[in-house]
Amino acid sequence: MVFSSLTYLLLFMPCVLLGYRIIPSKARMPFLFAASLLFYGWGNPQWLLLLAWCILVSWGGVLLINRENGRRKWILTLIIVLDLLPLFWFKYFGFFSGVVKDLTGWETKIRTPVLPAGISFFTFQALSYVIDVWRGDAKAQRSPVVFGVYLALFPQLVAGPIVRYTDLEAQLIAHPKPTWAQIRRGLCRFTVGLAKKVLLADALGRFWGQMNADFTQAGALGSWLGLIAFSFQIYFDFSGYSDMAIGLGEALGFVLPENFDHPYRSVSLTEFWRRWHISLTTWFTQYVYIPLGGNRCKTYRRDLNLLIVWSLTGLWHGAGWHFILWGLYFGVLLILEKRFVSGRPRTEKIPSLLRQGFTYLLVVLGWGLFSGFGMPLFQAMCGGMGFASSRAVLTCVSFAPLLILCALISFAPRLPKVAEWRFAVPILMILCIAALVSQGYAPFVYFQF
Amino acid sequence: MEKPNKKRLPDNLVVIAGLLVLLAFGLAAILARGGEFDEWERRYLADRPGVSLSKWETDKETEKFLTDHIPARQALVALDSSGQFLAGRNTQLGAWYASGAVIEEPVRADTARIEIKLRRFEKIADTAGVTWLLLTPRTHGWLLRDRMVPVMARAYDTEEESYALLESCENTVTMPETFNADPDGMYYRTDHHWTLQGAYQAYLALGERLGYEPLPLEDFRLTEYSGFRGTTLSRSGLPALWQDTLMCAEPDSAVTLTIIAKREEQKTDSLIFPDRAKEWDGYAVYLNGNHGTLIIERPDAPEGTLIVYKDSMANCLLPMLSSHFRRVIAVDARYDSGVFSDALARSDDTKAILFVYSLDSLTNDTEITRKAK
Repeated sequence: MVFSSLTYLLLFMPCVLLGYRIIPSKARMPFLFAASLLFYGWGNPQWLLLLAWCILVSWGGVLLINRENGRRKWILTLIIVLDLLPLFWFKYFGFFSGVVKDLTGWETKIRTPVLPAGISFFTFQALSYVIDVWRGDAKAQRSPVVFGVYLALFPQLVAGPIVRYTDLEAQLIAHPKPTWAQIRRGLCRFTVGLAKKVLLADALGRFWGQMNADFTQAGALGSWLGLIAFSFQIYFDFSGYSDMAIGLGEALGFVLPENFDHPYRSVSLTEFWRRWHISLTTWFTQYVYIPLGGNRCKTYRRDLNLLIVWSLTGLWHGAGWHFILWGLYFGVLLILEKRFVSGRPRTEKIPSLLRQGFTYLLVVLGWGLFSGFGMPLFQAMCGGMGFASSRAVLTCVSFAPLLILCALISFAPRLPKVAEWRFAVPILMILCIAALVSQGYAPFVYFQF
Repeated sequence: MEKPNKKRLPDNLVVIAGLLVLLAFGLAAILARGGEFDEWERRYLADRPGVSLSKWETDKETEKFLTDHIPARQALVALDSSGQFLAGRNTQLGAWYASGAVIEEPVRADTARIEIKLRRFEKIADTAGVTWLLLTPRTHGWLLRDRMVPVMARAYDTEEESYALLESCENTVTMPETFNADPDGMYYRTDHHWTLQGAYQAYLALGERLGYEPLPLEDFRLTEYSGFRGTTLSRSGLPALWQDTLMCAEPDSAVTLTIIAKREEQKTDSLIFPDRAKEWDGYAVYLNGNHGTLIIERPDAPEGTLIVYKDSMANCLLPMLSSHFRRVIAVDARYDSGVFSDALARSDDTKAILFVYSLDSLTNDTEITRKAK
């Protein structure tokens, strides 16, 4: 199930939030676990087996680690492998078998399975739990239901934020009863996130889709504006989802960590990655970068660590060379920034608006790699496919007000808090439902075929 | 810290009321019967979702069902379309708004496809041993170009290539200048079809090529139906703020209309169906809507049989043409029962074959190309 669906908004959410608020305290965790399983299994009930595997392996494995003294490291390795196995199979098998085919000519007849929703997110959460307990940073959770709620908590199950077990441990044990004020605040934030996703990101996606359908039509104008739209689409889509997750978490009495902090206002790439998908950056820092040696080593070793982390970050986003290239692009740029830009007095003298613009430009070019359109896109952006067709110019003009609005929201130093405006939340909710209904509106001119 | 607001409603009241309203909408939608025909969209709405673990589609089916059956669906779609319209995304609605009319998007030039159709039309006529004519009027959008903002008008330039190709074909019937000069009078504001005046201009243009003396419009029996909202408007999703008046013309003499659809024949003694004018898409007032094959018989007419291969553009024109031909056999290839060769087989006194297609059908419809082979 996704938040931006009528099934969720009109049936699941009202029932779960009202039910969770009125049931007795002891029933809250089992209720939330069952609701989360329904939420996840609704997309495909078979995926529940996958989630169950991840819960059982991590929960049971950690109990085993606690019991053993001599072979803890081996058990940890085994649990990590078992946790990563489904992720590799579903997400990376097709990619790596393609690489093997390209290198050796040997082709497997096994078909690539459909990628289950949220597998990267809950696998990383499971790994953080296992590693934290192994390190002694967290206590093992004895209740499979409470651990199940941690891993499958529906607000952040399919798109994050990736929550460390230590951040939720106390809340899970207290199984909090949300106040009506918390639910109200949570729903307000949820609605703002929903509006970001449905009213902004989806519309931007339609524009980008029209531009990338044919770069010879889009030309330089359409491909540049399309890519800028794509940069806003990713931001509003993902940060909107995080807003929804955090808002729902609050409505259920949980405090989930922030995942975005106005990233396009950053004046350097290092700052950008502190503000963008914060929970993923934190995860890689905690569980990959620091164990590799982090900053506390020689410069060349630090640079190598950065390249490893960023290639893995790219691979986490998707199984494809363009994702790895995108990760390495940021890895190289961050190394250059750390070596030649950060902390230099000359850098500080450059107006922050210029630095912000330059950072955004580098990020947008990165999204160009991320999009996977490769050379045709960059060729069109360089003017190799003309300025734009008359149709593309018209489409750009049509979407100009939306692009300006998104730019204002993304770059403006201060924004009014929409959720606090009277009637703003119900109006946004109605507009979102109208947009979702409209997407299913399909007049059929010749119905008698 | 939140600012204290004395006028703020209690949190529990707001939350419970808000969630119950959402739930009420959801329950009202999920308890609907399902599978009914929707006149507005002219399609059958989604059936109740089924459950199959081996082929799980319940999530998508439920979403479709809720989308189709949510209360106030039409108002919600109109709200979204109006929002897009006001935000400047007029061209994203599947229909464009220009100069007080909702018009079709420009038809992208694809002269290769048109050339294939022209060759096949010629082959059909050669096989039958009769002359053939093609009538494809310029679109409403193209006629309105002078009144559009330049960036929108330029998008219609793509149609010019197709018109140039058609004009180079000697079998093409050129519409009179009166048609091209009066976009308001020739097309409906809410529909992609021409008005009675537009169809009459086509009737005048065809007179010389088909060898009949056109009758004055006043000689036909004229009827009017107000409150017409066409398919272009409903496709846009915009609220029905605009309405047109349908005008119909048919000869006053006795006539038999045979509708052949799905191997069934239905005979009537009128070409105009006033009851259909009350429907959302009132254009079905002509000839009872679109059908695969139609036969109009008028025994007192002077000429033999005219075969018309057509799309819905011709529906308004056929009653006028029928005053000159004893039989008009019309075939719409977009429907199963619309077969070109069947029409030829039904006639042994064919005077000519007339192709009447909108530029969109002539360019993009694959059924016409397939069946004309």
